[in-house]
Formats: sequence, C-alpha cells, structure tokens
Amino acid sequence: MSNFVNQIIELNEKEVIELLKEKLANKEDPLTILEEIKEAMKGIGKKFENKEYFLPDLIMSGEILSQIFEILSPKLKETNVSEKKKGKVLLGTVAGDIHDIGKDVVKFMLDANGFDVLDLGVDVSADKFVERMKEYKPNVLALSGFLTLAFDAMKETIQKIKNEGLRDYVKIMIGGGTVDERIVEYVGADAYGESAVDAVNLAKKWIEV
Amino acid sequence: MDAISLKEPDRVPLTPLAHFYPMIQKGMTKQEAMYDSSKSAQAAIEIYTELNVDQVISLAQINNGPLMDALGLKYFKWPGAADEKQKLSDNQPFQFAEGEYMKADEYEEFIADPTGFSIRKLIPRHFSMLSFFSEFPDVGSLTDGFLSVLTLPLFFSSPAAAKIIETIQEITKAYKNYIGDMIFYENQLKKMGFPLQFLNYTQAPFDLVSDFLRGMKGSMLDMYRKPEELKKLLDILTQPAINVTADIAQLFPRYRVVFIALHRGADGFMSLKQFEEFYWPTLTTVMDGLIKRGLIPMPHFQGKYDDRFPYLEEYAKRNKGKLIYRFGQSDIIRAKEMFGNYVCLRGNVPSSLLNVGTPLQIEEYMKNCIEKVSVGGGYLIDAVAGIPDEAKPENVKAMCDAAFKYGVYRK
Repeated sequence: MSNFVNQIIELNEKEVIELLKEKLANKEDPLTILEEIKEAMKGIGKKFENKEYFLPDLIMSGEILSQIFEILSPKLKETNVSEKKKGKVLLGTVAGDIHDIGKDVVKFMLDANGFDVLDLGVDVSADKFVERMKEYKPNVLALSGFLTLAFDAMKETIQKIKNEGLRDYVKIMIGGGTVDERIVEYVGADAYGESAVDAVNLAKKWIEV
Repeated sequence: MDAISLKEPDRVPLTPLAHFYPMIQKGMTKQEAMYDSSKSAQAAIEIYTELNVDQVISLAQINNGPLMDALGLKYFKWPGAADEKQKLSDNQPFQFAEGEYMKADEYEEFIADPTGFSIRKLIPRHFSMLSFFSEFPDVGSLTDGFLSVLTLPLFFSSPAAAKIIETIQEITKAYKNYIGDMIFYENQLKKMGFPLQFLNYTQAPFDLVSDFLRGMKGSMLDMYRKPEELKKLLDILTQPAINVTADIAQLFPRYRVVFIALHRGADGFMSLKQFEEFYWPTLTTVMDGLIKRGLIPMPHFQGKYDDRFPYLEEYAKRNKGKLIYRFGQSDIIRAKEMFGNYVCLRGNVPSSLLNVGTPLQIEEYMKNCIEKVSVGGGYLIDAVAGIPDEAKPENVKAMCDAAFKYGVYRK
C-alpha cells in the first residue's frame, strides 16, 4: 500500500493534498492516481465495516475526496477515458421527508465504489420515482426516509412501481432512522441497510451477480 | 417517583412521549395542530385521558406555527409556514433544517465574546425577523456610559430597527396565546389527575454545537480540523446548559425531571474515542450540575447506545436512584442487567411495531419488557421515539393496556 493510499485512509487531509500535487507535478498518470484513490476508498470501507470508522470518518473522507477531485478532474478529462460504471442506482428521500445527510453519504459511497448514481433529492413523490425509473432504467432503487411517515411513502412508491409492471426489473433497498426488517416486509422492498456500507454491499451483491 | 428511586410502585408507570398522534386521532392536519394550539390542547386532553397514561407530555412537543412565523424561525421547516422557504405541506410534520449558523472561521470570535456573538450573529441567523440585532452595540461601547448613551439610541433608530415595535408586538401576541393554551392544558390535566412528564429541559453541549451552531457536518469535521477550538467551545457552553434549567426549577419545584434529548453521541455517529473526548465529559458535567441542584436528569439516548453502555453504567453507579435513562433502540433488557439496579430505565417499544405491527405482537413485546425490566422498580413504559404520529390506535391501546395487565407489582 503506497503512502498516498495510506494517508487517504488515515484521513490526513493536508498530507493527501500535498502528495497529490507532488504526483501531478511529477507527471504521474491521473488514471493510476484514480486507481490508488479507489484502493483507499476500499480501505476506508473496510474500516467502517470493522467498526473502526464511523459517520464522521465517512464525512471527512468525503471532504478529502471532493478536494482531490477538484484538482484531479481536469486532468482526468484530458486523458479522455471515462470509467465504466458498475451499474445504476436511483436514489431519493421519499415523499413528506426532507432529511438528506444519510442519503448524501450513501450517494457518495456508491459513487466512490464505481456506481452511477442519480439522486432525486428529498420529498420525492412516488410518481416522480416511477417517471425517472422509466427514463433512467436503474438496476437498483434506494429509498431513504428518517421519519415514521416514510414507511407509508415507501410502500406507496413501491406499489406504484408494481402497478407499472416495473418491480421485476429492479432491486429495492431502503434505509433510514427507524427502518428495520419489519418495514422491509411492510413496504415490499428487498432489503434494508443500516449504513452507507450496507448500501454498497447490497448494490454489489445485486449487480455483480 | 418510586420507580425513579428504584422502589417498586403499585404498577409500572405508563409515560409515553408523543407529537401529533392525539391531533391526528381527532382528525386534524399537522398544519392545523401547529396553528390552533387551543384545538390541539383539547385533542391531547381527550386522547391521553382515554389512554389513561400516568403522566402526559407537554403541548410544546408539537411547536407553535404563529410564534415561529412571528420570529421568522430558520432552523425548522413546518406545515403552513408564512415564509415559503420554511414551508412544508399540510400533513408533513415540522422537520429540522440543518444549517451552519456559525462558520468554521468564527470560532475565535465566539470564544472571545460568546454573548456578543450570540446576540449580533446567532439571533439574526436563527430568526429572520430579528435581523436588526446585528446592529446591537458591542461590549466596548456598552461598558462606557459616555458611548452607550449614544450607541444604544443609534441602534434603536437604525433603519434595520425601524420595525422593532411591530415585530415585538406580533411575537408577544403569538407567545401569549400559546402560553395561555399550554397553561390551560396543564391545569386541566392536573385537575383530572394527569401531571406532566417533565417541563424542564437542556441539551448536551456537543448537540448544541451540532444543532444550532456548526450543523452536523460542521461539528463532525471540526473534530478533525479544530479539535482544541471545539473543546473550548464545549467548555464555554457547559455551565449555561445547567443554568437554563434554573428558572423553571424555581417556578415549578414539583417538576424535577430535566429532559435531555441526545442527538449525536449514538453508536455509529462517532467513535468511542470521539465520544470520550468530545461528547460524554461535558454531558456528564451538565448532569452533575443538575443533580447538585436537586433535579433529575433524563437523557434520551436516541438511536443505539449499546457500545457506550460501560460509560452509562459507570455514571449510573455513581448516581444511584438519581436519574432516568430513556432508551431509543438500545437493548433495554441488557441495560437492566448491567445497570438497572442503579438507574430508572424508560422505553422502548419500536416505532415500526406501533405503526405496522399487531396488538398481539405489541402485547408480547410489552410483557417481555415488563417482566424483565420492572423487577425492583426502575421502569417507565415509553416508545423508542414516542408514539409515532401514524401509529395504529389499536396498537397504542395494546401498549397502554399492557401496563395494567402485566405491570401490577404483586406485593
């Protein structure tokens, strides 16, 4: 594991940016750097799974990654190679609920793990989910909700998807403060996640099969 | 009080928290509930007395629309808000609106003059109708009579302050209406034999920073980027968090319980190391201060705190019979085993069970909790996040009935 990868995993912000600038000054291939970043993200994900890292660490890693990509993106565009995405995830907080922090962390982790994510934001109606599903054709639908009113909003969304004949074409995960196994059954989803890492693991399991 | 001091009462007390549940049962929208405190009070009185709870929750739990409009409150969004930016639809409940009300580069300014910063920057950022406070004179001129004789009048005559009188009148009108209904509610219920669960309240210093100063993201990043400044800020906020309980404690000496809703210390929200460094010390200092004043802290451990049980155990052992631990999704039975002999436990029927479960499932859950947790006193019945707004009435009834069916202590 290189020093650069290690510094990212250890969330040493200043060191990471300094090293990145050094690497670019030394004309290192941006795609190689991208591979190192992915390795670091895997390392961070592992620490989260092992309960060494928690939400603040994910948020801090998000900050570091944003800064990295601000510097790296122009260089990546120059190489003209676009990365092949693993699969597509449609994401949003359901109708009636405006909580977004958990959803944003899920988006970030899915993105960092090579998925194409379309985030519809908060308070998304069932109709809007259906409409965008038809356009975007995701492999996975991820519904977020923190308040207890989200249970029925999730149920309605999934019911509408069934009515449109789309249920068999997508795997559905749900997540949020009061969601549990009982709610998965109630709303007709396939699984729930307790954290952003769960979301990534579910997406990998469903798409890479 | 028997349950809190770990003696066996006649029966396990039934003390559920709730927000809009009673109003929804009476056919009101959430918007109506927030804008008609008189009708809300009526609805709550009817439903809580019907459920025969032992203690009721304050009307303050649903917040008041007209008061928040008059202040131009920014940190909630709610149904019927006058400001379009804060408005939600009629059946959405009020929801917290995250914001960075103190910027990362303002630590020094706050630390140097906490009250000045709170008046000149925090008030305008929290309440758009009070933006004129940004012109309030600073300590330099306030401590010099030759200056303040001019700077205070200058503040009052500034264009920003032109609408002070009108604004204050609107706020006062809304406030008096609301308080009037809250007092009626409390008196009426007391007459009928239903006291309030609590009236007094404070927060953990870290949650003050996370909720109202730096936002959740800001406060989390500060643990990495500004740890020393953050700790200084937490220290500054500690004594005030104790002091805020003094007024109510004096006016209402019979209401000794102090509710402390915990937001950011839960499992997963920070590491144990961060919990030990940033969250727990100032919280326990606040609770120590309350206990010293003869008050009963009731921290509400929202989410899961199972990884932190050793800390909860240690504190409970130092303060036997002096506090209540209200649990969210933690294992309350394990809690009873570890420290149930030292502290009263309150909780913890899951929201999912109350919303989508059956009365029989609820009865089984309650029977298990009551049998395991009420031994030796020290148990108050409640739900993880209070009774959810959308809970099925037959489930709520099952929860309440269980207290009478299984909760009577055989003497």
